[in-house]
Amino acid sequence: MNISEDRKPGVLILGLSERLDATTAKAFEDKILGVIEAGDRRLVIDLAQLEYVSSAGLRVFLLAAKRLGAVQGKLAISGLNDHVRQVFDIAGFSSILSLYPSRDEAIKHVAA
Amino acid sequence: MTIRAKTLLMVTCLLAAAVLATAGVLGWSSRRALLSETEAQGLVIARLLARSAAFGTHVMRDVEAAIGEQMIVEATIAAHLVAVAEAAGFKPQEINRRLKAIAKETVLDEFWITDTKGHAYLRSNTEVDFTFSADPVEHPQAHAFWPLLAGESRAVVQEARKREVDTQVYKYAGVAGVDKPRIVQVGYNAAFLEQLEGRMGLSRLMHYLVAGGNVIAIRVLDHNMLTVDYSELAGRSKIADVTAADLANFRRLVHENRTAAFLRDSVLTVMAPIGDEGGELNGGAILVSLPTDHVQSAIGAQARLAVFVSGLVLLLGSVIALVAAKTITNPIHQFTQLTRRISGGDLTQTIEIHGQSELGVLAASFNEMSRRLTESMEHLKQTTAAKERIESELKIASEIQMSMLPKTFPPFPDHAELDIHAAILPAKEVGGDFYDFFFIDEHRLCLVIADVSGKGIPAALFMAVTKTLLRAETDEIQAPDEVLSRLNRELCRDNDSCMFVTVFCGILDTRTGRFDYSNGGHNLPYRLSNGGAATFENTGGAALGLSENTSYRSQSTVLNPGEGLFLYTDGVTEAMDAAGGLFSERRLEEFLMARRGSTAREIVASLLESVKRHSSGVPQSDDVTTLVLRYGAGLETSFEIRLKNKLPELQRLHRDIAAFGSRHRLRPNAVKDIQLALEEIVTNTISYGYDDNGEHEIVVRLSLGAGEVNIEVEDDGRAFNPLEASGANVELPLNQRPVGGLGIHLARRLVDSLEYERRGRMNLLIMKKRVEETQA
Repeated sequence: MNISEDRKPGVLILGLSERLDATTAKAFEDKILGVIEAGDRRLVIDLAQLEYVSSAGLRVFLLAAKRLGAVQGKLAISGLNDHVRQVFDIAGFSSILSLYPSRDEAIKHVAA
Repeated sequence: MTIRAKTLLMVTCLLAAAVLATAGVLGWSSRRALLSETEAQGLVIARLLARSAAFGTHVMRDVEAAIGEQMIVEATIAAHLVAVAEAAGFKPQEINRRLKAIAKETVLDEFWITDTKGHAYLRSNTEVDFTFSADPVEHPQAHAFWPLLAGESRAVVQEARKREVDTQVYKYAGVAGVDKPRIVQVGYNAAFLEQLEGRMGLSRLMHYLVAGGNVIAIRVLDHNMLTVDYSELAGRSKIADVTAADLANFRRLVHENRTAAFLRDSVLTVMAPIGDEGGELNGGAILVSLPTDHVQSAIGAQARLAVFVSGLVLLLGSVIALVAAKTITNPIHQFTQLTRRISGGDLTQTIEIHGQSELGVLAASFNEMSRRLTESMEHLKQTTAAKERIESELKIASEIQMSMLPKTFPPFPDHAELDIHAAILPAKEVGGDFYDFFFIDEHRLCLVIADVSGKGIPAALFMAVTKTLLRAETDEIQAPDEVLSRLNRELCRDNDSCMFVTVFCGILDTRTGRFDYSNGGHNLPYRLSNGGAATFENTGGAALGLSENTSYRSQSTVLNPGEGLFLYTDGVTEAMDAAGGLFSERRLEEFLMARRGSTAREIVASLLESVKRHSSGVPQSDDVTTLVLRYGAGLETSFEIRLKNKLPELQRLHRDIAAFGSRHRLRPNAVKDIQLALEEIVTNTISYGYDDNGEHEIVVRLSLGAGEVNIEVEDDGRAFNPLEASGANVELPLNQRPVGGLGIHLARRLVDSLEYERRGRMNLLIMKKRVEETQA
């Protein structure tokens, strides 16, 4: 897994690639909690390049959403492929997280 | 030791030896001369004494003879006097009184006048009554006068001798009576004779000589070598006595009438025999002992002088030697310093010693050597630079050559039925071996292995040409014999270098396993099967590049799933060990028998390992190349993976499932579902399944059945039935959602069925996932 970082006015975009599983989730957790800690309140997580996610990865999204919710931040997730989307659906995350097909829509959402 | 020190030492030693030898010889000869002189002096003295001894004896004899004649006169007068007196009627007492008066007033000491019977009734000494006897035993001295009484003799003179009555020395003379037979004897006390002898004899001369101080001692020996006289200088330590051996020696020398001299305790003793003239000492010898103090002191003075002169000569010699050594060694020292600088790398140094001396010649040679060395170094630098350039170019050439060979393994990930691996180990940087494999159409794979004659750059260039042509030729042709024929024609054209290449070319239909092949003089490959390893049937073609007219022919066979191909070059079988022993076909076949079931990668790796081990320590003589293909090996429909209870093991699990999926062309999302389900189950077991921190094994088995994948997970953790786990409520809003607990839920939802069984101490989970193959 690789994490890329991009900044638009007021929004931090983290891009994930390859696989987010039990062996890589910890790195992602450290990263995202780190940026929230550092003060970022509007986050987009772009999953366009992510091929695979397991419950260990889902757990981090949930954790990040809760943390941001507590500080009136905003989180949007974009670019889920079929398989990832299926996992999100099964886990019931589609209804509790803001999912967008494209990165730009996600940015628009959190920037609003 | 430096040359300077050596020279100095040598010269000094030589000087010392010469000076000491000269001083020694001079000293010894001086001593010899002085001793000879002393000896001569001693001899003169000894001879003089010997003659003196004889002279004294003669004089005394003459004196005594004269006295004897005088005594006869006196006795005759006394005979007449007595005859007259008795005829005149003088009484004996009266006559005795007169005789006594004569004896008293003259030097004549005694008168003895007998009667006819021998009774001395008339005498000067009236106190002694004496009668002559004819018996020589009774009167050894007096009987000599008896013939006067017997009328047999008129006069008798006897030599001075000790008297029988006392020990006084007396001389007697007697005549016969004039009136009647009787003995008329007169006697002298002979002490004066001894005194005379003492005044003018040998002893006196001896004492005189000894007292003079030039002689220490004089000893007179008689013919029996008994000391008859001895005189020595007072106040001097006693000189050594003559020994019995000396005496025996003297006796012999005297007999031979030879003189002798010997030195003992610094005293020179000279011996001279006493000859005939020595009278009673004839046959004796005289020893004269002389002091040699003057010799010793002369020698001492000479020695002191010698030491002084020697010291002076040594000192002077050493100084000269030091200067000479310095003169000789200075250039050598200069040499040493320069050579040290040159050996330090400074080749510009030259030595400034000129002239025709040995050192001058050496310096010239040295400078010449230094110049040549500089040239050689320069040459070497250039050569090394050129060599480095060539080596670097060779390295680049090698990289280019290697880049021409397919080296990505597995080369065709989409073809699960193909397990291919190959490797080349060039003997030099660049070599003439190569292999190649490529699809000539959708299903048919062309395999080639080749070996160009020779090695190095020419072989590499020829190899590049061959490989390029090969790819070009296979573009449009279908059969391997055609490939070889056309390649051969191309290679023969303009092949001025007369190089050739052995090639084996085969075409495998990956769908059916049909394998067509043709050989151009190459080592026949092996077919690896369950039964063993056997070479393919030869197709009889010659190496390419030799003749345009060579014809090639193809053979066809079918590879069954699980069978393999082993292609190689002769660098494998001809690899030599240190003793020159080849790796050989026999060893290769043994290797293939043992390894026929291994993967292509393992076969290649372990073959290279074996060859390297065989020829360890020996420079590789030929390229070693091998290409292995296993057909259908990846088509097994099940596999098993054993994981440790560590999260990083998940990566291995994911990779193997991906490979399994790819081999069996499963839909990627179905593969991901399986990966996800397994990850959730295994992560759960690793995280919560064990009561201890020890290492445990989790076994995962996948098998592909009719339209579904059967997945089994077996572990020895605590009993856990996922079906009984409280399902996560996925309906809750965000803020009520627990973080976690989703894993089992996901796993259950992603597979089509899930069964749990507790078998003894093991959890056994069996899941099924329906799959359909993707369309090829």
